[in-house]
Amino acid sequence: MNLISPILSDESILFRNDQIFTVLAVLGIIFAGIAVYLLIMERKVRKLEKIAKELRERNNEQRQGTKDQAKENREGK
Amino acid sequence: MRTKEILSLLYREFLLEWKQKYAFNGLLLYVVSMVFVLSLAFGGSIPPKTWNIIFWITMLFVAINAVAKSFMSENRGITLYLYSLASPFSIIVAKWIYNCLLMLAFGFITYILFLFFSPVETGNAGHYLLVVGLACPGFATALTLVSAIAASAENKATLLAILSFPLTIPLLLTAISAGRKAIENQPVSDSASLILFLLLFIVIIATVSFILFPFLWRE
Amino acid sequence: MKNARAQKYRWIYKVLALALIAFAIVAGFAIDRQQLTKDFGGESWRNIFFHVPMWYAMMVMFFYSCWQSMQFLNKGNLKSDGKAVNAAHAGILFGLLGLSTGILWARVTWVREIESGELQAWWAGDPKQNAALILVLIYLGYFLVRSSIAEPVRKAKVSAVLNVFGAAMIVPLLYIVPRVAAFSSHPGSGEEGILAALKSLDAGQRMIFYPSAAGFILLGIWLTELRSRIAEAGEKINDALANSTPS
Repeated sequence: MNLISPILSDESILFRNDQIFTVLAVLGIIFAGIAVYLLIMERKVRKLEKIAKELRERNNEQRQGTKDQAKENREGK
Repeated sequence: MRTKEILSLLYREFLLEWKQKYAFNGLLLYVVSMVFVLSLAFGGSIPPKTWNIIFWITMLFVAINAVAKSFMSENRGITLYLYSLASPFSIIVAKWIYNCLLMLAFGFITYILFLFFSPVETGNAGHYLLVVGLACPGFATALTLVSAIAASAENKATLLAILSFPLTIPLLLTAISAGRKAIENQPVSDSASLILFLLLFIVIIATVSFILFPFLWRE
Repeated sequence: MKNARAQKYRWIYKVLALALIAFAIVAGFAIDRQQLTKDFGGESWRNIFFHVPMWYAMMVMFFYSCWQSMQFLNKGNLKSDGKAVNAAHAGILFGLLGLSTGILWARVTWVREIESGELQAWWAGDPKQNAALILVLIYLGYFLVRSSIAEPVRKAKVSAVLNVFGAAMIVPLLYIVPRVAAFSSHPGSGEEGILAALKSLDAGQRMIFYPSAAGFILLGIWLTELRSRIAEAGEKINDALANSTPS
């Protein structure tokens, strides 16, 4: 038995029934979903990186602060 | 080339096996059981194409079991000491040679056993044995490094099984295809490209294994 | 530093990725059906603008992953190993997507002419498809190995070795499987038709195909980069919290 897809004719069922718009709509929704997901991830990652940077700077300040204090103590003596 | 090192390591492998013999015998039992069950299931007479296929699938399982032991049955203390003396290159080469010889032996044994339990009328024995003789070392080559990788992990047995299947598929397909040509009595020249591939496979994968193994060994 | 300046313009390639894929979706359906489609199952040939680019993206990601593994083995920088893992994630994603689109496409277009006329299988035994599945299996094994070793340096080393070894295996696979599959008794595999279609793409179709491929590849790079940044930021935060002196 040789079953070949019924779409193998000159006419395109897809365009004839305007099913093309359904297909495009579905694809568009999937694409929009992926795009939204990626953009939200980008935003989260940027926030994460900002937090990381702030923590680091705070650490550096603290370290600087204790270093200065140690220096003062030594000079004070 | 540290031939002496390699030879002595190889000798050690044989010695270990000779003293305990349990790996070889275990594998032998495994092969006999498999061939027996398969021949029973098929009712004695197997069509040539199928014979070829189940032969190679049996070889696959034998290979995984045989080569698995090469790195995983090492008990830590003495082995580590010995291996700190030898270079990783010698270790992998010795294991590879040993596995190739082991696989060759079992290839031949499986072939005899299959013929014993379910003989096949057609087929060019010389041609078939040529394919067996090239594909079995191929299995050994492919799986030796996989065994080393799996030995460094936690759940070794499952890992070895899972890693082995995708990595031996090209070899398996080529062996089945070449074996099929042999069993259907086609001239050797027909399967020349496949046989060349088997040869190249061994050379390339062995080289890659020898290069990669030292990275694994730096413990 | 070069890094800082590059970071400012990072958004460009991401917008480009999304734009290219959107273009591929719209143009892929807008383009006129041509003589080609009669041989390849009607409208479903438009899949060529999506399925094959996804596989290109998968190959690029896996190649990059293997390259990073080699770099790690060479220099021992754990960052390379991180890049290798993330690229492998993206590669597997595209691989699975490519396989599913391939299955659906083959099911719609070609049927396996099985001699006894039974039900056709879902899996078209096509060489490229088989090779892609094996590649995905190898990389799943890669992740399995990584999850079974705890210590980070050993994990990186062993999985890097597997990565390179798998790649060395795949190269002969891609050349031998098509030749071996020719002996199979199932005629009319899909991909020869697809390759023929690819070669005979005319200019208009190429203009959609190549940008689509580029878009998917850029998308893969974006995904890899996101994972890397998350991992890096997490590490930095952990470091900072560990080193902070209690106030």
